[in-house]
Amino acid sequence: MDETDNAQIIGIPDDLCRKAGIAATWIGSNKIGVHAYKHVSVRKHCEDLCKDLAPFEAKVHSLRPEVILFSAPLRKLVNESNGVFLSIQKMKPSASSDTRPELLKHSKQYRSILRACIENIQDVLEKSTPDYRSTLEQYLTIFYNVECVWHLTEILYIDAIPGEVVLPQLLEWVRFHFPKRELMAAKVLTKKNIASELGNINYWEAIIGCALHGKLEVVRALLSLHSKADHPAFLAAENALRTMPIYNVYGGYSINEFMIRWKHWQLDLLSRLESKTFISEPNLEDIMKLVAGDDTALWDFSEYTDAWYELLAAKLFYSVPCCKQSELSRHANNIAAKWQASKHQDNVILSLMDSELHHVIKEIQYMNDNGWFAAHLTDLLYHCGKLKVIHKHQINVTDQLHEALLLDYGTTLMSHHSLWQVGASYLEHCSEQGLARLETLLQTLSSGSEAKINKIIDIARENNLHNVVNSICKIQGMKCIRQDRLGNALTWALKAQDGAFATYIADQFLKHYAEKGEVMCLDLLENLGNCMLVSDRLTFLGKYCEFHQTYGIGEFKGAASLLVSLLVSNLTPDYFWSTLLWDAVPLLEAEDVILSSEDTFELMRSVEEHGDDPKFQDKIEIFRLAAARNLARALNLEGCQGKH
Amino acid sequence: MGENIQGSFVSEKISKIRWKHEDFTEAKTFLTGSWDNPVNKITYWTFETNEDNETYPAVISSHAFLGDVTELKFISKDFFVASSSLGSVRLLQIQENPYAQFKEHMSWDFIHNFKTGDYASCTALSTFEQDIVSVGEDGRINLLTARQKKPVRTIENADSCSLYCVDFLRHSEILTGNLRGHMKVWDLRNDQDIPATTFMLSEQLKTEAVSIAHHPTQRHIVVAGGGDGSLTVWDLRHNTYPISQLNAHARSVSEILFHPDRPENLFTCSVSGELWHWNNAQKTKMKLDSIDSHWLNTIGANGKVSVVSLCTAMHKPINSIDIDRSTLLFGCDNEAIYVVKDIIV
Amino acid sequence: MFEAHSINAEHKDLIHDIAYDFYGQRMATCSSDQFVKVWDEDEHGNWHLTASWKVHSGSVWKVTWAHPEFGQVLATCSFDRTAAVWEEIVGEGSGPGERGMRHWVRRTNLVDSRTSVTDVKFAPKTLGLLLATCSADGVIRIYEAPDVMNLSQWTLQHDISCKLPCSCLTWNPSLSRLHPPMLAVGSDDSNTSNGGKVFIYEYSENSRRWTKTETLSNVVDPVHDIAFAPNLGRSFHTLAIATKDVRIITLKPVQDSAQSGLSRFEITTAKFEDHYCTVWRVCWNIMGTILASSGDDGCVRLWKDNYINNWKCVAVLKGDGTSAQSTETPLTTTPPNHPTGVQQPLSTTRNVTIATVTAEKPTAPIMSTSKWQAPVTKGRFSKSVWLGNPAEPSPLPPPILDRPKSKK
Repeated sequence: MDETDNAQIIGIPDDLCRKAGIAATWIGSNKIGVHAYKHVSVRKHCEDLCKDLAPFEAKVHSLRPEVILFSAPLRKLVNESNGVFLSIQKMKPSASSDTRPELLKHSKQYRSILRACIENIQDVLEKSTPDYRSTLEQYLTIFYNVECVWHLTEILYIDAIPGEVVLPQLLEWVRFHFPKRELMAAKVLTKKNIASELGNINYWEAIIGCALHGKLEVVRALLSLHSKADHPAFLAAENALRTMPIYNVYGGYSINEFMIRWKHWQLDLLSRLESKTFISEPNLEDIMKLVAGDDTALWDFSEYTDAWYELLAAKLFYSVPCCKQSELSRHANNIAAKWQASKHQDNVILSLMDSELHHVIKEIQYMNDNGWFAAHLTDLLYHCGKLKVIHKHQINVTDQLHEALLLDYGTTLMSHHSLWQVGASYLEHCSEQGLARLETLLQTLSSGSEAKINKIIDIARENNLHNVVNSICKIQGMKCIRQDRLGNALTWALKAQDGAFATYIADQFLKHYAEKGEVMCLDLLENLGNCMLVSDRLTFLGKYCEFHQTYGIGEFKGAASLLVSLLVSNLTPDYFWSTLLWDAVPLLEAEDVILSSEDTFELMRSVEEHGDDPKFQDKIEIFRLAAARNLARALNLEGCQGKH
Repeated sequence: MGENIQGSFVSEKISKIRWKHEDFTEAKTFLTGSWDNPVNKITYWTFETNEDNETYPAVISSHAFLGDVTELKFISKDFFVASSSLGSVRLLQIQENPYAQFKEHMSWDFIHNFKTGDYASCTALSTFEQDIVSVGEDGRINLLTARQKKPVRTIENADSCSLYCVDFLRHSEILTGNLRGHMKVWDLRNDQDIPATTFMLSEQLKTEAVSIAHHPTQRHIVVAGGGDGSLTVWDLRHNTYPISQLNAHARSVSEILFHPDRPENLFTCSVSGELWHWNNAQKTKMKLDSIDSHWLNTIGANGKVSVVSLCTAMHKPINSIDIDRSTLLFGCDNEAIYVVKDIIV
Repeated sequence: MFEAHSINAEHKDLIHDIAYDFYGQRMATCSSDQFVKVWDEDEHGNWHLTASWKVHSGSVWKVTWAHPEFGQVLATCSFDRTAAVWEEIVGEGSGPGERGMRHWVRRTNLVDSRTSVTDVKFAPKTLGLLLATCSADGVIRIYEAPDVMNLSQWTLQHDISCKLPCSCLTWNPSLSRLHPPMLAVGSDDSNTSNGGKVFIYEYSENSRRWTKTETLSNVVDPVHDIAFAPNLGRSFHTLAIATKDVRIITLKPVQDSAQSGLSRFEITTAKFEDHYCTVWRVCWNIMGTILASSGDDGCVRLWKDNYINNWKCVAVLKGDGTSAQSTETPLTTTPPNHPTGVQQPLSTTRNVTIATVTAEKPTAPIMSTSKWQAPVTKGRFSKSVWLGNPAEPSPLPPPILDRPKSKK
């Protein structure tokens, strides 16, 4: 596939950049930061270099492509079409049932949305300021062209054409997109004046326009308003137009039979032309020549058409009324070549008629609609099974092309502050690279409130991107720590089941307690439940809080057994031993004997092992004394109990 | 898809949607709040009829709003409070004369913030007559009253975690729910900044409590929605153990709404794009008034309650719902608002 | 059309490098003036200077952000032979809405190099908190913070000599466990007879050592910058090289290369000479789909690949003396990031719309110029807006499962 080279040159309005040169750094997926840059050899200082450039302002320019889809009226299009797209993805590809009618419905829905969008822009246009007006007009042109191409694609590739005779649909398409002269005709007709040709300067133009579109009833109605409508020339014309056979698949004739009838009628008209029936009325005669299929007359009227395909429709209508889809290309090429059609839209339409879908898709990527059209149309054709793109070496690259367009479109939307959810739903349907992209892009979404974070996490979970969930939770936790909200940080750590992080946070709680003697966030820590098991340190913290809670409500026995179990648990961090041991003193000194001799031995063993903390040195004697006294009391008590 | 649903795309994601109820007639206007734009909007809507005799929502006026709109609540016919993700609460009035506009009567700026001075999102608010309570990601509760700039009371460290929802149970009592699913009842007559009761949304699963609603006439009946899509019902007169707990929606419950006039109808919407109508199938209104057998108590047990989806699941989260008589509004992350008509209640 | 926001970075000397954080909302700039400046973007796309401090006693060559999981962390390297790690500290706000003071503290100063440190890069976060530096005397050093929550303790884990002066390095960002940790280093040694100037190093879990597994022998000219593309699940690696031209190299790991003793990679090179002169910098976008290259021709060229992996220049940026199109836009609303409207005297933001100046080569006109013509029929032909697929089955009654009540 040879791509037309259309690299654009973008000028950065910065004199220093011009003098020194520039360097660029990407910001996310589609923004770029640019600054003046001059390479300096690392091995020598750059002061001399800079003197040449002084005085200067070291500027940084951040550039982003303007995406028209982000404008308010087009956001409606983006969101609404997303619904259709997702609906198509839900369709089950089945060999048995034909999905074509369903897809046709979807195609019409897309076009309906496009038209609603165009109509909406027109509404907005009326009320807007001149600057914005030109922008909106530009959007109108873009999406009008999009709809035009989409309509033809639908006719040629998605709809099933009865008998493969394309003319009726082609006429309908041309009439829809070039309504100017039919509107003219309607105006003339509503006035209902006899001798309309005198009162309306557009009279003949309207007739020619309608004749080119095959609107014969209108032509006849207009002719009947001519001041000489009862003259023989007009009567003959009326007769010829009235009797012209029009092909209809359901008309009961085979194509061959129809062609015989039509040829017969045409010969009749030609003979009337030859016998100079219309010579008195030059305008009428030209029209009748066109109707008789005269090529010169056709091209003479080309000034009354806005595009070559309008002329093509007329050509087929009067010369090849049963033109099959397969023959369309030849006629189209002839007309387009003679017309010297070279506009972008012309090429796209010609490629469509040539059945060069690959080329069509390539071209529609340049419609300045930020990829909306290419992505959606390609996806629809892909689901129709109409798309087959063969790269050199006969490699089928259809899937890649389809996915590449969806990826580009989805990525564009992901860069928008609000449309990222829509963007994500396109990436989710790219089987090859979609998830990897989603994984990257979800993480770079600017974080706002937790409500937004939860929605991002939700999408990540839906797609089983667990490391994204974990990373986002970790970052949230880090943010909370910076804001001095340890409790909330712990919650995020638990959400991600991040043991290492939970340990770190639990340490902060314990250290704070060891220093200040108060437990922060008790409401949270007392209700950890099973979650505390995510980390040993957190388990220790949770149990330690439970100890305080139990002690607080006066359940000293329970508190004591919790304390002892903490001592023997091997979970105690080094810095916390002195605190834990000191907590035992009030229990040892309580009026009742709370700690058994066995527990007391455990305490004494712990103090020997861990009581060497300098912070504990002034307390160790008190501890030993309390332990000894309690041991005596406990042994005494246990001894007494043992006797009974 | 039923004929009774009509949608309009509005070019911004809708976080909140609220009817402006009328006294003796059906509501004709409503408010929406948006989120996730650099500058968001509160918009006042009415319905207009086009040449095809279809009614569609049309903007009356729009008010720029810094931060995401996180809640909208009317406190009287035309006064409403709005909270923002930048930690502020505003009291606004809808004025019709001389032209439609919002008049700001009070603004409590940055009443939710972190120690570092960064703003904290005001996640929810609840109102009782002229009183307003707001909660935020800073774990703070602010009690406000419409006529006073200074908060009446601030409970600084009400929660160690972000608070996500709040509800006035009665004038002197509020219920809050947090990121961990801790529910706390606060007795406002008590000067100490400690909750009267604490209980869990779910003992087994730790999921955030994202929304709360109370029964319009029996305020002790409370329903809370979880981040996992579950619904939990309590009768707070008796105890704080849930009377029923349901795995309902596929994902987080965005809002829970009792029909204000017909409380046997409950509506819930979800991040999974679902919109459900819960209805006591037997319509035994007499039974409702009996003491302890509200239908919500028995949802799971005897299956008397019918639950229907009001629309095909949306492909984006539904953030907010409101109902007036038989017409329901909902706002969605696909930047559209929808009107569901003729709901049988 | 491009939209541009321009700021005066107020560096007293040339900017050598700019780095954006993970979200593209914070920017760090470094310069020969020995300063680093940090800028924050508000919701409206305006950049505000939030910190500016002297980081080194020589030109600062590179600045880079650590992954946000490690906090707000920067690393810098300098002509003064050191590299440093910085962390942002936030103080308490003095009141509601009053933002706390933020300042950057030096967590470590890495002084092992005896010459100018030319590049510094954090490893992908899956490897932990690792930092690689390279220096003009040809040594690559890999430092590790064993406790990721403690940024002041760094240990020099590896010290690799590559014989030639190093100018740039890049980590392979692949997150796949199938790929061993990998980095590539470039040398700006100008003697072409010294052979290849790009070296690939891989870490072996078994030997716990970094070994040179590849030298790109077809790159013999000085290399000024080097960048691995984000991998995004691909099985091969893509490496961009700034040398006398732009090279995009793909490295496809070869199975069982250890046994056969053959090359570790199947290497393919794409070469682009569009700059017609030395290329100084290369940079990938976050998905590795577009490469920006800066050349001595004063242009930045953007290269995009298509669905069949063909790289193509899609745009050229270059300095333009005229700035007539720019308009000053005063900041009307107080950005919510700064609730009290703290004065930001150093920040000046300008909004500019930059139109494409010319097409590089004459191309066929892309848009038809014909104006829109009103269609006869009205917009929508299906009755109302899209609600869902009517063909989808009508909603089923939702599944409701009663949870076992918790009893204490």
